[in-house]
Amino acid sequence: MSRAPSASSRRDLLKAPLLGTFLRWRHARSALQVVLLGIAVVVITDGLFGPQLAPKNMAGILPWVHWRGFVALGLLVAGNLFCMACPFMLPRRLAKKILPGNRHWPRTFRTKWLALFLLFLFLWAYEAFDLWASPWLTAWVALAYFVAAFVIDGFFRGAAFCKYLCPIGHFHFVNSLVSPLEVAIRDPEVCATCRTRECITGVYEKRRALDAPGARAPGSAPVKAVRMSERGRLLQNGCELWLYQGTKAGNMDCTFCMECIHACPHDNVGILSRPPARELWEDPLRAGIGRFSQRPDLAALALFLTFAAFMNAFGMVSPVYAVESWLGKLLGLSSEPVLVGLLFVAGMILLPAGLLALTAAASATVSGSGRSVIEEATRYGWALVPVGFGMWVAHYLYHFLIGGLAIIPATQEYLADLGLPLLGAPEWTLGPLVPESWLIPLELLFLELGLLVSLVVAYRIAQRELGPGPRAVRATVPWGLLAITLSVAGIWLLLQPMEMRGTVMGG
Amino acid sequence: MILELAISPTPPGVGPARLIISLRDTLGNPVEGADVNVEGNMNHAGMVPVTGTALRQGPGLYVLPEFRFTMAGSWVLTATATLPDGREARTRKNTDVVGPPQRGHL
Repeated sequence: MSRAPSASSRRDLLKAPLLGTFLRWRHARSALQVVLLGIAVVVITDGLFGPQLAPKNMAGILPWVHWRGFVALGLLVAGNLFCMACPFMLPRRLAKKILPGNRHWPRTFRTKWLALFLLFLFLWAYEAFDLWASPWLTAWVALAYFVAAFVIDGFFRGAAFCKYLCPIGHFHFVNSLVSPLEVAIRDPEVCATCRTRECITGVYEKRRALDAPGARAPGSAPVKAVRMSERGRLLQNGCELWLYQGTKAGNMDCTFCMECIHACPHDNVGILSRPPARELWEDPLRAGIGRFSQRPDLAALALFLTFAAFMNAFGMVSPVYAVESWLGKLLGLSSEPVLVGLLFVAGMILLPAGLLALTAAASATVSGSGRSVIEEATRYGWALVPVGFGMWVAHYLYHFLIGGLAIIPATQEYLADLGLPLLGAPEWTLGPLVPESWLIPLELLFLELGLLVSLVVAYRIAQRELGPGPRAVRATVPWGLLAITLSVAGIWLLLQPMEMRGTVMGG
Repeated sequence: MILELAISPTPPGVGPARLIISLRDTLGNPVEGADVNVEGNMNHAGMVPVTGTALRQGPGLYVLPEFRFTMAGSWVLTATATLPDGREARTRKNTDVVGPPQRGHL
């Protein structure tokens, strides 16, 4: 699929001057993780012990203004950069050493349903408990993340936490399907003749592989089969998310950890450019995943995130309070967490399920595919990912662009609180990175670019399923209409007055 | 010293509001000659704070006639009174600011 463009026509980030040199360094990821771990320590300490006013606390600013902004930018211009630098994975290495880590993740849970539930929980908690207004709670969420990654991966094989649970990681997995870079092989022929597959098994003191005569990589030495127990020490991990590079396709489940790059003895794995969003309409058998069209759990995750983009933004505009108030009176409830929960269940699950069922039924009918609603939605639902991503980018970049410079006075104050007033008195008037008049046009641009890509993806999926011709066009129409409806909802949201009410922890 | 902050109207809307600050000693006598400053922050990060200096309007009474709330949502107002001898009093007040709507502020 995404290997369709020839290797020579694709840019390889690993071959870029300086950046490529850095990324090829075996400890590049660790270096990035150490930086983010330092930032996480700042967030946690300031969140727990600093001033409990979010605009003046690193735990209020760094995660909710800068991290989300950089995540959106990273996914837009590169790929899953945050997972690459994920600080939660550093203590996990210690867990792998001191805890057994040999259990298989339960077969029942080898889907994305748990991740989807946790993502819902995360988004709900963000709104219901006003995490954005509470440095203290934000710090505890970060701490809980460290503990969860440590415990889960301490007891289970591989990167079970990343592959099956992490809500943030799954946000990246889905939205990086639209990104322009992927970790991929340079030459399929090399993988076809590779018998050792270090990209997934890892590199041990003794190579494990089966070496069939005449079936090994050119130039590599013959190797004998070696038993597991005789392999010796692990020198380099392979992919811990079980993505074999020979058949890996695209960014789903890829944390850009670069283990495969360092493990490959043939130097055949790179970080390659590709047409953004192409993998949404191609449906190869993907290593560690299978076919998108046969994974309703994956499609549900992608669709949930698409609709969540709009509901998450809805939680920040004035009309949400009118709806909450109406719902509260209707049900006789006053608890914000309960009302937000009901609103989110309606807006992120029930309403999307209804809209998707209608759309899938329409596309199955007009195209004569004869498929069930779930089968149809599992195939075509991917078309909505770009418009959802457009909304996430519009939303997160708004906060980043309007408050990006707030990090300067916050750092000044943080250092002053530590007794190190190295940067002078805080200049709290710093905030916007761009003039306010730029924001709406920029937000609309990202949203509408997402819509445009969604329309293209819908048509390409229809072509794949039905072949070129009028049936494909007919199947595209319902999905195109749903994408346009979402885009119109997004425009309405972007033009609403922002209003964020929440518990103020400061006193 | 006892510093009290009141907002008019309550709840305030987006735009100007009047802040009334009273400063008394522990016996309830008005305190004169203070520099009274107010800083308003939204309770989420990323918005530039609004600041202003209140003017004396009567015995122990200081007023900031046009404190401009820039966005609807939850605000935290911090008033600080500083006397010439360096003594300081501070108070904090939380308030929700309601419309009128400003378009395009997600």
